[in-house]
Amino acid sequence: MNSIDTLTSLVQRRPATSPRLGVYLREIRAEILRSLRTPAFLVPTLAMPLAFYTLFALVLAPRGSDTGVYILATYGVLAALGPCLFGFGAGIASDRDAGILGLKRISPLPPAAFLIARLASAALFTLVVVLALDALAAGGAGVRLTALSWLALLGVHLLSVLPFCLLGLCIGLRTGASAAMALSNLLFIGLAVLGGLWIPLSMFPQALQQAALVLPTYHMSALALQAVGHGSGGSAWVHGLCAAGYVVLFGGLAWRAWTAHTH
Amino acid sequence: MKPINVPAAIEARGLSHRYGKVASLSDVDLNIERGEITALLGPNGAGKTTFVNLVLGRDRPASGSITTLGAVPGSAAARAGSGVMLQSAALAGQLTVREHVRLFAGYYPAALPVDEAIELVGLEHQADRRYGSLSGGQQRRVQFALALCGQPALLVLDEPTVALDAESRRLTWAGIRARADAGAAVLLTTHLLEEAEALADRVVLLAGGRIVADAPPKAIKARIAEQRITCHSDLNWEQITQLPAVIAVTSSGDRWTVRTAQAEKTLASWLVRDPNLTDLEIARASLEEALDQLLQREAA
Repeated sequence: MNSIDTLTSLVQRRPATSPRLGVYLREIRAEILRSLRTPAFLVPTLAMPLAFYTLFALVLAPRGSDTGVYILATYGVLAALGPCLFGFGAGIASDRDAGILGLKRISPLPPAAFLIARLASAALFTLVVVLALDALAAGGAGVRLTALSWLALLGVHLLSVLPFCLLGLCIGLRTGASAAMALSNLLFIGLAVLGGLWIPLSMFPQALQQAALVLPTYHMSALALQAVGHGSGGSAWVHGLCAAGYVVLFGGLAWRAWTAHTH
Repeated sequence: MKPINVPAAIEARGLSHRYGKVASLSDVDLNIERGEITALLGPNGAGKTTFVNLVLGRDRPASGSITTLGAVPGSAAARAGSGVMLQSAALAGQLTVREHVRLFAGYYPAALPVDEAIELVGLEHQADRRYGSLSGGQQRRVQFALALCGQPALLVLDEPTVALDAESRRLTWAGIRARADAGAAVLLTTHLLEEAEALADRVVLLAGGRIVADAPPKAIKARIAEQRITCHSDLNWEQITQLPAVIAVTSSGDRWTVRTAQAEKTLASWLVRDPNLTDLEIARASLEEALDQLLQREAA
């Protein structure tokens, strides 16, 4: 937390130059603190991708297989899906139920600051897990990639936050806290399994492989796989466009929910 | 006191609101002035919270107009000058009192120092405790600190002392008074006549979405502060009806129930006439009963 402390204190010391930036940074800091102090969120979202990676890439993978690099690509997408659905989506639903969101919206806080803070928090936790996955892959599973591939992979994993968080936001603004938690769990498992994040899609029956084409997780993991040289058909442009389409779709739905919400 | 050209903090004209087909507020004209504590008094469902929601821009009027600090309710300009405590709003349980107050103080251009805001609500010893570990009364005090910390020109408090212990209530009242003395407009809702009486400069009595009275608390109290005396007495119905300040007399079994505008006056002469009076009970009529009575009297 030290770097964030320093960052906010720097801004606090010079409020005249950028008072707005200070508001955003303090809001982000508060969101991160909240998440850090919520073990029920931290443990599953952070530990699960790392534990599964250790199990499948380090313990169970046959020597010389490329499991390590394949599931690095897909688990990084999984690492973004968790914080976005649980921290962002279900988190906003419970804040809304408790009246926290209502109080923020009538305070002088810029309306978007609340969302940006939660988005930044989800992105930061994704970054932490993805970097830990990368370290585990390079150090434990012997994954070797070019610098460009590492960067492209990191970029895809971080960009996954955008469609997933917007999907989470739709859930958070439209459903109550307990329904949002149930729905997030359902979507997390469904999008992860059917999008090929856990098990390679090639092991699925034809019909399920076809169905995966409409899932945002499929397109993000396809992009991640292409970044590490395991692309399986379909150009990066097509997957990128599909992912962008989801950003627009979920963004539009979230915007409608946000403007309809006043309490 | 008030410069002529300064607009009222809240100006409502012909304000109406409906939930579905039910009218929750009908044709309300109301100015909330600066430097004054205005209490919206009324039973549940009178339209108090609806009015607050319209002031804050959380709901839109069905007809009529309303401005908050001269701006559209809910606009950035209106929000920048308002401090608000809602009736049911939680805060993040994982953050400490100090973290909450610091965060909110940062929203306002001329906020109080964080420690000062915490002292105002008497939580200096709990400043580093997490919100989630505080008692209900302490949590309400944190919410009150958030409403106060920006030194807002308009303070809006929806049932600020519901479920508060005596100490919390005293601190909250003092904080509200201090804000009004500093020139802020204070709008609070309450269903307790005692609270309006102790605190407000002006009481607006709401019932069924309409303003039924708008006067200083003393005048309101005189109109609705009914009490009920219950006791055994050897006097008969006629004699009791003749006692001073009596409004109505009923009996059940051998007990008399007497509604009076001033229990002290009624009892003083009752005891003179019947020293054997026993089993005495005096209770304040509920606001709902008193309002019913007031509305019936005024309809007649």
